[in-house]
Amino acid sequence: MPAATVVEVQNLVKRYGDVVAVDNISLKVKKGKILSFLGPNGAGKTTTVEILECLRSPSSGIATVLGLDVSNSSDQQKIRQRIGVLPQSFNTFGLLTVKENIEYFISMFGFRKQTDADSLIRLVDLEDKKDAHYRTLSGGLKQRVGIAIALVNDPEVIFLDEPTSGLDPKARRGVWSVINGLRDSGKTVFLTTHYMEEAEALADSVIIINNGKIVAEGPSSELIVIHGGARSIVLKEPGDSIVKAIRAWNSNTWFDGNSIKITMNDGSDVAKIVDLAQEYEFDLSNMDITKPNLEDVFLRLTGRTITEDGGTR
Amino acid sequence: MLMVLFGGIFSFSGDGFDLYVQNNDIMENGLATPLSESLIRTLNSTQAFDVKMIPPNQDMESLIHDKNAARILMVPKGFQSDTEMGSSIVLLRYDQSQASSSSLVGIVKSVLDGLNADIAGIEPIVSLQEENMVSNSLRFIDFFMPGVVGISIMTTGVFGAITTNTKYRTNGVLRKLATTPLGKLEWLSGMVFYQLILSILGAMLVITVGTILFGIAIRPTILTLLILLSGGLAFPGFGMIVARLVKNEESADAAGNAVTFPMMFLSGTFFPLDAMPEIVQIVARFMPLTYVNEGLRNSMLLGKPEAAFGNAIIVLLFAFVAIVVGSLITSWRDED
Ligand SMILES: Nc1ncnc2c1ncn2[C@@H]1O[C@H](COP(=O)(O)OP(=O)(O)OP(=O)(O)O)[C@@H](O)[C@H]1O
Ligand SMILES: [Mg+2]
Repeated sequence: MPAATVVEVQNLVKRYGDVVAVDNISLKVKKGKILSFLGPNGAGKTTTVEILECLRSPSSGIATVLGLDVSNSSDQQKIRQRIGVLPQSFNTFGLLTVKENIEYFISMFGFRKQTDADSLIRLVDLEDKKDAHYRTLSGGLKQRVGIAIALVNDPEVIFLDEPTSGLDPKARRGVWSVINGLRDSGKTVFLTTHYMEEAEALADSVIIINNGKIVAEGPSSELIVIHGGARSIVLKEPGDSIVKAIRAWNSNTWFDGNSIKITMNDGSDVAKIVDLAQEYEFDLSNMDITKPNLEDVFLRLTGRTITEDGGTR
Repeated sequence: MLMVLFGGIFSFSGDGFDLYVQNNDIMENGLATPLSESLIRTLNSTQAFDVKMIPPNQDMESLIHDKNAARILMVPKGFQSDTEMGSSIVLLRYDQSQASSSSLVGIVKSVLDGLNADIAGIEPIVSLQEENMVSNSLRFIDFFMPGVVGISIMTTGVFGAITTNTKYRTNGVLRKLATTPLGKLEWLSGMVFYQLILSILGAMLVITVGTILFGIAIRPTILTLLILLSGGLAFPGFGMIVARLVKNEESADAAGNAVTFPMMFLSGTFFPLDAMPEIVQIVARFMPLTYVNEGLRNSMLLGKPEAAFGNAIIVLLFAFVAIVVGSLITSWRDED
């Protein structure tokens, strides 16, 4: 039996005046899967999830969550009862402790679906911080509190909007392991991010959105096979002269100021680069051959890459 | 703070120093007796008071009420003949709660002493009979006190609503709350209720401090509480409306000041409204604080419960309209 569809969007459009933030997108998320909604700043990620969370209304198109219509006000109330949300730039009451914050949000959902604050605290691994005031926590721990709060009503689907933005790599991995734990407990997760690595590491499938339009979708391995192209040769810190020479020979290159990436056509390209390296005295221990990744997929589809802060270049 | 400052300045300055004098010692030809005439002339010559003559037999109570008379000296009929017989009195009615009282009595007594010395008896013949009265003429601090209570509930409510709404909107907590089943009305009513409690506590503190520090003889009644409650609802409602126009936390205070300052000065907080230019009086009619101030004065100072009740109804109306409008325009979900 195929898994049930938890989120379904058809021809969704959202305009803000003249700006088309979401431009006719359609998608489906199956039960128990983690979907990564990947795109740079301003791509329309938050707008899409906020429509699914019943915070904004669509300009046109249909969106359903758990079979309920986000545009129908009596359905909206049911949706809110059954979803969990970590908003972008999550924040909560700074002068309450971790535990008090969680209990406050538990009380918001009435007595029917009460979960126990301590087990949520254990789930996000915050036992030693549960009596600390929220505002004294580091960014990564705050996000984990946010995830715990998103789980207070034992939701069937969880929306996480950029859960690791601005975190250092260690804190990011801490949040990832919490999200992986959600997968293990069978939750459906709709995760937006502008980190390629995050999408690749966590998601069962990835949807790439750019300028309000979906440019590709599928499991990341498939996207890489289809759109990622061949392996690449990467030279770290090349001199100006070798960069010039490589560009004269092969137009299929990408130079970000730090390293140059040459997409391979066949094995003879390696020999050519080795020749050029000798000619221009480039240290070959700084040469790598890399498999294509989501970055290549995004690059090939949009002609740009997403930077660390979510912009494009 | 403000209260201590203003209270200190005004509680000692007193109002004018009118002395109403009623001479009932009239001869058959309609003129005052020479002795009473000379007593009044002496009083006048001290220049300590502004002596105002009132006709004999005028009703004292209406004088106290209509003219806000706080000091009345009465020379009884037969004063001259009683003096000649060896014993007479002069009646002085004054408000003993007023700071000026003791000097009044002192001056009147010394005038009478002078008179007694002139008559040159061994025993003093003319004696002073003192009588307390509750005057309508308020000391400034008495007048000001309810105004301070009004300012207190206004600032608590307006600033409280503006800062709470703006803070939680800009720091993202409202966005999170909006994803839960919590409704806008639940959130706002919780907020208003919280401000209401703070307002009442603040008002009680102001009243207590005022009573202890300045010895203000106010008598809060159940209507005072009603006024406080309705004001405690009206001002957060008003704050919600203002909060809608505030972009960020930094401008929240400025917006709060921009609305509370004019209200404070235009609503009869510091000076009675009827002493203000007509335009101010008209503007004041549109400000809830005006009715809060009047209601507080009527209920705890002037003993006018009917008027206070009327004020309370108007403030409640303000509260209703402000809260309804404020709730309608406060954004919750789907803010584009
Ligand atoms: N309330 C709004 N009013 C007008 N325009 C808006 C509003 N919210 C978003 N936009 C615009 O819609 C577009 C999509 O914004 P959205 O927040 O959905 O992007 P995003 O993918 O979440 O980006 P980010 O990574 O920066 O969070 C942007 O061009 C943005 O400027
Ligand atoms: Mg966003």
